[in-house]
Amino acid sequence: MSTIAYINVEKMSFSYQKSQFSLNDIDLELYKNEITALVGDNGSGKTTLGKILTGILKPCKGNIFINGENISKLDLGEIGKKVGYLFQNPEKQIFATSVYEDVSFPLEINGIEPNEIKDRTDSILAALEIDHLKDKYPFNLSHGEKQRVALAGIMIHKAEYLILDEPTTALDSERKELLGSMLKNLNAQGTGILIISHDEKFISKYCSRVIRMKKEGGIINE
Amino acid sequence: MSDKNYILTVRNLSFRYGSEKEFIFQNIDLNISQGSVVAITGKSGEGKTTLCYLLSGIIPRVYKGEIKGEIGLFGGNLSKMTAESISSKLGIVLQDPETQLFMPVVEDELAFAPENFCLSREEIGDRISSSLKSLGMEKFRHHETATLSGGQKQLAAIAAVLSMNPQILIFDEITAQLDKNGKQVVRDTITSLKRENKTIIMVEHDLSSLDLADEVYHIQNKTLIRSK
Amino acid sequence: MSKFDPRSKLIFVIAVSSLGVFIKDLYLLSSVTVIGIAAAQFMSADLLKAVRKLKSLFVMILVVAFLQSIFIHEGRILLEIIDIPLITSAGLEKGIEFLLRMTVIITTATIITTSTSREMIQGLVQLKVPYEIAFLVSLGIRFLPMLTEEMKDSFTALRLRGVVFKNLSLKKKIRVFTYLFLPIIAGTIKKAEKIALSMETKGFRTKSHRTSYLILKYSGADYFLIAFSIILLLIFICANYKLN
Repeated sequence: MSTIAYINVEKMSFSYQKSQFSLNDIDLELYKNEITALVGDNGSGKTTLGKILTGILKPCKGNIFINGENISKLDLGEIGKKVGYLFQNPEKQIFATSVYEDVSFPLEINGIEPNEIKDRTDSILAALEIDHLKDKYPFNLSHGEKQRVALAGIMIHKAEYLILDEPTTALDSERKELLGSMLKNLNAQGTGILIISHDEKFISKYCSRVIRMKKEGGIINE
Repeated sequence: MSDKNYILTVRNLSFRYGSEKEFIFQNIDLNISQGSVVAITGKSGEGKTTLCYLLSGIIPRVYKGEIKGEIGLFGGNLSKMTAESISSKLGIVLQDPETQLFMPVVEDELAFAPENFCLSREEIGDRISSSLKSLGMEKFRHHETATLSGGQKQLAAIAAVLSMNPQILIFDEITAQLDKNGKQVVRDTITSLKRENKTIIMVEHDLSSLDLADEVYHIQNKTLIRSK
Repeated sequence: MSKFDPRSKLIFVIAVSSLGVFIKDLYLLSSVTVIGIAAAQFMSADLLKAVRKLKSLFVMILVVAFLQSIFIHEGRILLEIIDIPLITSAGLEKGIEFLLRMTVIITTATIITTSTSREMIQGLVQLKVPYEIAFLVSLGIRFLPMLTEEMKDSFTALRLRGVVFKNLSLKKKIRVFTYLFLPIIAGTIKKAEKIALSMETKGFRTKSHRTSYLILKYSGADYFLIAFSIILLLIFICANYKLN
């Protein structure tokens, strides 16, 4: 089995300025052929770690590599094309007045051909069952629907790795299954996935590996 | 059947938001007796949060729309009740803890509602202590709300509503952001609130907490169906 | 460091910033600035954090001060290039004056941040400000950093959608900014709406008054600070009047 880690964390430490919380000396390897779960109690730093992996937060010590490149040298936009990040609150990544435009505008800005934009947008909207919402104003949708719009927006770049922060929060069991099988498909096609969650059921059903955050700021591979 | 034992009654309720053409639900009936725990489930987008807003008077006070039918609270017509009389009896915890916490420190947050009710300092202090205790959050009393984790924020939001000492509590998907420990804390809280004869309406996706409910309803295709 | 009552801090800040605005004499103004900075340090205000957060503001202040010193042509000529006066003594004075005034206002503002918003609200209420206004002022002040946080977060989230901002043409950069307006404004309005809703469901403004769990009491240090502020105000106003 292939296995060079797609995301590599070396001796990474981080702490917020105003709090006692910190991550200490973390080494971690994430592989494209796995759906990995990042679990831990409230306040253990799961979301923080997720943000560090995508470059949103900068570690105090240590290095993070995505596909061999040190992310301290990469622009957030470049990271975003390789690693898609889903925020806990989907409204944070919605920008346009229609679902269709929101999902497709980065492709337009990057100069992709209109035909390809249409194909990719239509297919991702259909895959996430939100094609019937494509002309709707995203901010008026329910939480679960907004989440799917946000997911469509990050998956449209065909990123090689996805980090999802609590993706199952507002989904009912039917939609969770939909999400789970979609993630499984994506993984089978070569996209690595990290799910930050405490949805034990979902994790045991869809994740092949579990990383647990310790309260003291370290991790355990399970 | 007399309405006398029912603390909350819903008759033929239909609703749509002002900007929408479609009704979210039509001709819903619901009777909730004091001290019962009622769960309402349904897929996302079906109107669970909207129903919470209607039952707490948030619609039509804050959000507008077309309401048909009637909601009765403690025997009175909800639409004719003042914010003061509703808030003294009913507390609601919503999905997003970020916008339910607006004081710098947890203690200030928990004092907010009792202060609005003009309670004495002593009584406010008692309520803060007991709310924190029932959620196991005593050590967070002087913690900054801004730096709590997502799940801790949700627990703080719940504590803030508990300190209102309401007779009816509406919980809109409050366990969504909580880990296993947090969910257990909420379960224990619901159990002890039940012992105090409080009425609880909980909207949930998480089917695992349904066993706490005396009655379970399901919103589907614009109607409410009882499944337990 | 004993905690000062937010009311005495407020009185001090109003006194010093008023002096900072109205004093004309440069030496007096410098003294006020030094007093302002010293007080902020004493009350453990995080001046460095303020400087970092307001970096762009400081640059603007320096630019304005610089421009003032260049464009005011009175007094002795201090620097000229090919017969064109660049910096004059009066110009330099005006520039420094502007710099000092801004410094006083900013440093005293940081003193306000040493009290929490709840303490500030209570301070205003105990000063007989109607509680609705006190909350309004305090939430408004809390809103500003919330707004800048929103802007930063939105921009980060947008770039993570695969937009490499620095490589874009100017036209596309402007287009990207228009995409930010929506979430920032919509997000802020929605947040405000939800906070107002939350406050309402908790009985806010349902009664004509409200009690408070937090009660502020003056300590000896507070009386000293208030007296100090009043005396400072009187001394400097008299001195300023005498020197003009």
